Amino acid sequence: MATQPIETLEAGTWRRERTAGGARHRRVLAQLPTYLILLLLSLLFLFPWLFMFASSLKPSGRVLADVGSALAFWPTPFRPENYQDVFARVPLERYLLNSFFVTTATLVCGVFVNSLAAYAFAIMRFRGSDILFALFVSLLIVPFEAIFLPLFLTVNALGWLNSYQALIVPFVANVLYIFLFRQFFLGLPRDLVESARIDGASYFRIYRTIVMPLSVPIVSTVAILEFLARWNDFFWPLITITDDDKYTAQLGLAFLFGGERTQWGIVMAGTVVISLPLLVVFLLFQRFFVQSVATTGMKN
Amino acid sequence: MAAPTIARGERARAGAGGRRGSLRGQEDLAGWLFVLPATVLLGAFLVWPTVRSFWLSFTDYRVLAPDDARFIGVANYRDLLGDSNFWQAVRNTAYFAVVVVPVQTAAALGLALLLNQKIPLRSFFRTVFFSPVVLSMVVVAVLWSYFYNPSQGMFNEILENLGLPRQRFLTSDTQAMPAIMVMSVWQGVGFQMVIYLAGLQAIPQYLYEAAAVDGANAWQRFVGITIPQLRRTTFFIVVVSTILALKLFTQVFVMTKGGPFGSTRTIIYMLWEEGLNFRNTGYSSAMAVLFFLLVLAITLIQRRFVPQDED
Repeated sequence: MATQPIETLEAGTWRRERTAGGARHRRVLAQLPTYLILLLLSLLFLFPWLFMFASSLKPSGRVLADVGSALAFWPTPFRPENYQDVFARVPLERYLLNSFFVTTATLVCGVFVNSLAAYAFAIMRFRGSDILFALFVSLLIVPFEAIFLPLFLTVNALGWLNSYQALIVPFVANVLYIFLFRQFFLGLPRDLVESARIDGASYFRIYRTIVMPLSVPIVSTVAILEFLARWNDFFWPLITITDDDKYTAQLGLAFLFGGERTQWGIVMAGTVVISLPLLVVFLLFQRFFVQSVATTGMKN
Repeated sequence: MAAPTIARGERARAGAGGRRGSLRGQEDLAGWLFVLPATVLLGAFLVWPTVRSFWLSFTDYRVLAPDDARFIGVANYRDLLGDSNFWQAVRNTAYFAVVVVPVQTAAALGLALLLNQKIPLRSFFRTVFFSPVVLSMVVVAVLWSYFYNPSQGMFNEILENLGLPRQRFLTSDTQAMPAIMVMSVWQGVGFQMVIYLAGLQAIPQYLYEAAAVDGANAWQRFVGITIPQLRRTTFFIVVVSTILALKLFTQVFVMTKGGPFGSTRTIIYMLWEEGLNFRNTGYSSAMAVLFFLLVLAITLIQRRFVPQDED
């Protein structure tokens, strides 16, 4: 039942509609098992969220006391002061600001640098472009985890340890994003570029005034992928940032968790605060989010 | 793919008539100018570290005494292959990948099939299943550490309420890795589900209609149409999730620090430990190179098997 493809259900309902008057009721009835499964699964996916929100709003002691009952998902007694406490315990506003700055800077520079390169590859014809693009594509398989040590040495040699540059500059150029941008640009109507060229527009002008304004979907896709990756990155900041002042939100939470294992209400308030920006972005741009994931899947 | 671009360039050039040569030069210059920032950045932060990683793996480089580094041939590789900790890390990583990849892929396909029906609230359910992907692994690991807590955790309370024996979860060397697996599947399955949904929607409906006319039942259509049509999608999902699984790190770092008794120490965790904690760069680089070759091998295998019918 659960794995029935869509048209089986439709064919079934259609047949029934012909024979009986209460077709709609039967259709709902036929889908009941599917709904039951979906609801149970939803609980499985939602309970950590509910637990996180509820626990962040009650005293730490209650978080532990309530685990055995449904109360674990309800914020009583209500204690919003956890949020004040977590900001008092660690400079979370500083960490959030750091994360926000690093994420935005990488994203803005990245969209520009990668789309510009992709534009040259897709629209322009210059000597060596094929070889260079092939080289770029071959870099797709280098896993970050295999090069983090020499990258660390490079960043160290540049004197960038404990700096924002260390978290931004190495991630601006991204082969996957260049590839996605190029694919999109190749699909744009050619006449646009050609006629602008004949009118004497420079290539950069065409990029700025014609190509980019048409590229909102791919810019959103790349921006979302980048936001998700940068905001949630843990490994690289862990290695390059030891100075408390420059901690990202993820680092801050890991260390808050390491140090305050018993202060569950406060730790949960911290997790809510650092997850909230992405949750809001996700709920607002859900369509783009899902689309961007599907895009990466289909394009490879 | 390149053909229409060439034609386009040629036409623009032909239109320009006598100034063909200078235009060509202009386009070369502008093109290189546009790819310059990306090329420089990729060169410095991707190509150079990759090359250096290979080089370092043949030296006894240490972060604290970089000038003393000597070329020592394959000594790092020899030591690595004789290091029981390394083999344990390889086994642990393989264990994680071998369980998580099929389970997650099957679960993702199941969820996608459930949601590929015309039912009310479809997008609500999709949002719910996808939502853990938005959470960072650190947050997920912190949350689940609480659920897994042996003395006061939620799962043990539930087990006790059901009259079942309490478990040690992350503090047991046999249960820690499975506990991390369950959590990882929960966090990542929505990602694959969305890719499968896109794949399912690309299957032409007439295939099903034709099969229905021929009297194929639901299962026959699933096996005969859905599965083969999703071949490309499945290969992509399997390869990407295999590579992701091989990179297992954050969960281990936050929840178990590789323990108990090294039962959750993975290749990347050991890489991090050796390279930055113990400052043994050369040795760690040898591990990185082996890891790179592993990922390369998986990618090449994918190339062989995926039909290149599009693109």
